[in-house]
Amino acid sequence: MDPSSLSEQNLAQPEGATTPRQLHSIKAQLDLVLLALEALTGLGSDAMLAAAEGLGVSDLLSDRVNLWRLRQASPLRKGQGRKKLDIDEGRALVLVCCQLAIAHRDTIRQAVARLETTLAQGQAPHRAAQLGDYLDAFSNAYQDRMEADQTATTDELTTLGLKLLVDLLFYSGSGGSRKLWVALLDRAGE
Amino acid sequence: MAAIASVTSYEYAAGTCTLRLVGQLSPLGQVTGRPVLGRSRFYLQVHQEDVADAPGAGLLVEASGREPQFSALNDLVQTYVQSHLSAHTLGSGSTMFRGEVSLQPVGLTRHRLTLPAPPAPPRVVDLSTLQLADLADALEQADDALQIIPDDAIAKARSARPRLSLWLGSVAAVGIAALLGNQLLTTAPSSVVLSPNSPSANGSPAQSPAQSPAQSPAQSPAQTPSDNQPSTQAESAPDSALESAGPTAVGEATPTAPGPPSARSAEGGAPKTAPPAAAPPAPSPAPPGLAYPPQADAQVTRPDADSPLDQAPAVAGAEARQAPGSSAPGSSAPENPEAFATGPGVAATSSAGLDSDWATGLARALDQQWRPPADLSDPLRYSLTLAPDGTVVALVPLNEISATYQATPTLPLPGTIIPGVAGESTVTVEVQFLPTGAVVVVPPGGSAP
Repeated sequence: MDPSSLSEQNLAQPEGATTPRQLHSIKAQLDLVLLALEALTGLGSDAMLAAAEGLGVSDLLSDRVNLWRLRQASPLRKGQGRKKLDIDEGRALVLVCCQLAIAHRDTIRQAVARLETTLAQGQAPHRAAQLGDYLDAFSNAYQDRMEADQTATTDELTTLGLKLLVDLLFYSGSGGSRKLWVALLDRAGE
Repeated sequence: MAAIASVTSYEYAAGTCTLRLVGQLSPLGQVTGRPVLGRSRFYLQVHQEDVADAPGAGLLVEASGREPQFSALNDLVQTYVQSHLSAHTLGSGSTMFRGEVSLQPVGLTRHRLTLPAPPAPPRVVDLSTLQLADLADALEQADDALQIIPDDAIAKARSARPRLSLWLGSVAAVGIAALLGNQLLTTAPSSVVLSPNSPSANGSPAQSPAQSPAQSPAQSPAQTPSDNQPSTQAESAPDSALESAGPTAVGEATPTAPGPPSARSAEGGAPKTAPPAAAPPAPSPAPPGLAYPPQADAQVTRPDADSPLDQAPAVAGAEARQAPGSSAPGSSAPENPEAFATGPGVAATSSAGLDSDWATGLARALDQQWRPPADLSDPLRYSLTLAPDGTVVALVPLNEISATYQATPTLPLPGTIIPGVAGESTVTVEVQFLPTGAVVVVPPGGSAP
């Protein structure tokens, strides 16, 4: 199964009659981007809240509970009673994602460079220590938190994790938040 | 004196990529809130990722060009990256084109960039994901910080007016020449009839020497200081006349023709009598007879020079300067109107003998690159030294105003390569960059002013 279809299949499931399908996809993708950042850099909710405060969106991301509820809005997540995500909250999460990506740009570049090196040498990405740790952390977190796709294989999660890693590289550059927002809309519109 | 256009350079760096944009700052920047660049050029360098280990040795690709190429590259890279981000898996994108520039995914993390290099085959470079991200980053920085005016708009706005006036000027010049010729033939028939016996009898003695080199020195000292710069067009007419009369007069002849309107009108009497005097006794005073027609042309076209038509006399001057060296000087005069139409650079080099093809190619190459600054009113004159491979070795200004504009990016700056002009040895030529956008090349064998 195509790993990209993991989210698509679940996003296609109607969460509620009034919830736009676009926002389903956006919620899932934003949660995955944050998940990749967590797995790569080890950052936690404190760093996300600090970034939100630095960006002036702390009214939307005020505390851990609020942040947890926003991430729980992902249709992939375990749990019930998902919060609806409005546009402002979505944009706040986009800004936080890119701010954290910029803050950990060196780590992201290092990981992408390792990925290119291992691929150029014909080796599996997880043979590089940094990538192996990242992929393990990402797979574990995904399987631990995502209820809707328990059948994802390791290869599929590896592919998804590497795709998110490369995407983070572009989000950490100039205009990263715009790129992420446009990508979210593009995917949601498919 | 007109204000000098400011050429500004902006540089953006992102990891392995360095982007430099050079252009003229537009006053529109005061409205848009960010700098607006016109007549811009870009210089792009992408280094190897391990450039830190071997500084200076890791240049992967270097590209430069004008606004259309930059816009195409910028649009292509941003669109490609966005589609890459919107895709569900790595390496699942498709090849994208913008003109001759293309980007194609190769494997999961490589991206094949194809850049056109007009004389040579397109360059193909495989960028890593890091390099692509850096390239997109640098382009994004430039896009955010600068606004670039498309060259098309500038070129259309600029080229329409001078060409129209050039043609009008040419037609007006021919018309005035015909009118003056008719006047000469109709108002002075008696002098023409009577003069063959004794040229000095029908005209005053003062006029007759005026056409000879003797009077030129007398006029030149008074006119030299004031009209030295704006006179590059008309100075060739006396040049040719005096070169044919004697080589020593060249230096003095240069300043004689350009005179203030009053002096011009005073001189106007002399050329009027000159053709009748020169035409009937053609057998004996052949050299002056050959020399006068260009001078008459130059004098006749002067009224047009009061209008914005500057390059017409310049071309005539360039041709007249070379006419003595050509095998058929008389045939060069009728070619002048055609020279206006086909392009001064080509026209100026058409009589250069063995080097004409090379000089024509050089003129064309320079003409494609040359974009005159908006406030340029006089031709720029440089001594251009080219290496055998076409690399510009030196660009030495030949007058003060040329030195002022020496850093103009549309000039052939030292180190750049001019395509299609490779030769067997290092060559130095004089090149004139006209305010109209034309370029005149004086071949190595030609006379330098």
